[in-house]
Amino acid sequence: MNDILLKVLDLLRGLYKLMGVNYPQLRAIVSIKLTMDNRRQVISYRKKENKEPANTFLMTMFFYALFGGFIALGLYGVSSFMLAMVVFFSYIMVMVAMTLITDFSSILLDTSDNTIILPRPVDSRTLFIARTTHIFLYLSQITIGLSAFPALVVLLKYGFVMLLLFIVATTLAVITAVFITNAFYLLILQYASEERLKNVINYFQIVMAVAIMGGYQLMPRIAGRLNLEDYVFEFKWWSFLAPPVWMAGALETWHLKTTDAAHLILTVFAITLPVLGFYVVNKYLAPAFTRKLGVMGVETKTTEAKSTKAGWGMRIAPLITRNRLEQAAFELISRVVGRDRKIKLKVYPSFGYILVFGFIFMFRDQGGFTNAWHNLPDTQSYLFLIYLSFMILQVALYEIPYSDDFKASWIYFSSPLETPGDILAGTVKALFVRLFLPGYMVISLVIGVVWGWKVLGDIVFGLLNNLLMLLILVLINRRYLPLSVAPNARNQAGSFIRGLIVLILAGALGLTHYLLAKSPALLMAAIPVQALVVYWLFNLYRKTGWRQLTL
Amino acid sequence: MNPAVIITQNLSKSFKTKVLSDINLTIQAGEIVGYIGPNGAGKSTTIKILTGIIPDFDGEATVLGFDIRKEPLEVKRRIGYIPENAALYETLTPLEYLHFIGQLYKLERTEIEKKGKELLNLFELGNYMESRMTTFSKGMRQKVLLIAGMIHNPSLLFLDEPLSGLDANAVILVKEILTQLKRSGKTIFYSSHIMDVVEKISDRIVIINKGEMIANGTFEELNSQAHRGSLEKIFTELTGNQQHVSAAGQFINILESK
Repeated sequence: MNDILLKVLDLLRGLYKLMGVNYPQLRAIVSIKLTMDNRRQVISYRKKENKEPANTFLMTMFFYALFGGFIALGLYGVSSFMLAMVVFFSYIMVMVAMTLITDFSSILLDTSDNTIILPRPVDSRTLFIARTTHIFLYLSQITIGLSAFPALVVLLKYGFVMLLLFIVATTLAVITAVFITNAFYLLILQYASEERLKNVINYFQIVMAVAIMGGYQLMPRIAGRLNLEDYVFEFKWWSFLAPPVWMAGALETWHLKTTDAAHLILTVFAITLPVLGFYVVNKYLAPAFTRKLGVMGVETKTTEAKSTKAGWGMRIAPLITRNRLEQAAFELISRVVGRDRKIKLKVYPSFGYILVFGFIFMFRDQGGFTNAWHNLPDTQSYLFLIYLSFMILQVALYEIPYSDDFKASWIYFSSPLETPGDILAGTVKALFVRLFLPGYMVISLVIGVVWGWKVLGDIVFGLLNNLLMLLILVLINRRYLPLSVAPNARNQAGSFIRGLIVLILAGALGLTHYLLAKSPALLMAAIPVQALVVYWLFNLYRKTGWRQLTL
Repeated sequence: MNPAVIITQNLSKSFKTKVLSDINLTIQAGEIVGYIGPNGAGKSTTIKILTGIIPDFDGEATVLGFDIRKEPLEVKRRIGYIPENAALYETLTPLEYLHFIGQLYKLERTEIEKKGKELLNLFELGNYMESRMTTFSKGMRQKVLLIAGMIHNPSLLFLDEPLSGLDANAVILVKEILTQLKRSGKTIFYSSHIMDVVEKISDRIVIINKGEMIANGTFEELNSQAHRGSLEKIFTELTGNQQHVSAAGQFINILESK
């Protein structure tokens, strides 16, 4: 497949030369990066390393085409041409920007190019355009996949000319998304250090993950309330600031054969601004980016280390851990979950998901927000909220064995650890205290405000039930030392059965709470029993020996 | 006297603090210059400026007759650079990697193939030519880096810790290669922490400390000033770090204390 992409690239040789790029060097760089992309994907799925992948490209296309199919169904159903197109272009641009930020941040900011390519006779423009081309080729897979079915709908509904215009507009939308993302990176790089940029990107990724999940959950509900049959798209002043509206407007100009001012302005914007953006990237941003890249890795060495003052987690560590080993694991994991960007990216979105799910659950089928809020104290929705924050623990427990620095786990094997149970116990305590408790406390506060303190017993019982679920999860699942497994060595064998058992037990615990909630006295009486079971299970987990570990 | 291939005048660089201060160097063609200093002294920064990786700096620097600030590509075409950290694209095989690097220097594919295979064989990597470098040891990667840095036959070589991770045989081979390269008229700018190697192969030794050049001369010249007998001792005296014996004693005392 790479050969075909490179052949396409060869057709643009003239254009590249016009841009002042050394084409043979660009081709060499793009070719090698595409090869590495393929191999990177394969390493994470399969173990046979020296075999060249054949179908990853087609698989990727297939999945994107599937997503595109849903969009196409939407396009077919919506009568407003403008609305349908705005939704499509927004979707394409968000997907492209997301891919750039999630998949390509590491590639765009990869400092290994500093020592491998920068010392070679490659000028900064060629290097930057090669990187951008690499990204474009990758994005073209997504775009072609996503737009295949929508393009078919456009062809059937609006004809061949509109299809051609649709393809041009989609390309311009992708260019605009790349330009905006690159400009965003450069702007931050101009004023912040590499580390700060990575942090900003990290939090941006977390927010986007929540926004996308929230969007998927909330959009259909909102769309259900709108009358899409008779929807008329109205131009507001801010419509002219949104790139998806430019593209949709340009297509509608042809569709309606109109020449009114609004449509003409949008058409001019759609054609000129992406081209202008591309020119600005090539002329000004490219050299600045490469210059900045050159000092990456050097600069950070001299910046001052971040404050490492002991937080509240460190101060309470000696109080809630039983011995030095457990305390050491507690402190290590507390620090890592607060600092490791990969773990934060995986775990922190759960906090946002809780908000989204909580919101949806509290206000479902109630006929309006105010009405739902008014009726809320009469419902038992708080039972759902109590167990919502377990989602954080589930993700954190799944992620904590994996680390890019997995080789550092030699320390567990070279130090005189009699049993690894204390390390596991410290890890679980850290995750519970640092990640679960803050979320649970906020939720308890909300429950207290809405339902009153009559549900205090439920909050305590729920806390212990969450702890029980956590212990069941860690006792049944494979046991790994924290941060000791390579991220691409995830072992899923047997996890389905284990997952099923955990699900059944968790369901039973939830049902118990639901039944006991009807009788507060019984609920209060059950709390000490529950505490004893937690204590017993935790001690059982603490006794984990080397043989019970998956190494 | 041979023509100068590297000339720097008041070469300085600051990030948030000053990391290089007024470095004035003149290096003649055919010289092996050992560039040494403690961690954080500014060795790698100097090399990154002279190889065109860091374009913003103060002062002047000319490499092989070209102003590095104005004509970095002309310099890069003629120099070889072997970086300190063994950074290479690990998912490639050594031969694929060398092909890629060769293409950036506009070498013919046949030439890269021939040279690459011969050099990999010479470094006992012949059996691993088609294996991806993800599984390579540090020493194996370093060998690939050495080949990649020299495959275009540069006239000036910048080596940043080139012996890092190499086995004893490879170290002997590299030292011999450097000596013979010098004989064939190449210039070598050699940065390392391994003092006895620097002492043995260098025509001239430059010591920097905290971004400033504190010594520049042949081993004999430096020794005649310090009368210490070995480069290691001269180095510790000049960099003001002579308390090793007492520091070692303190280390053990701390370990043994309760």
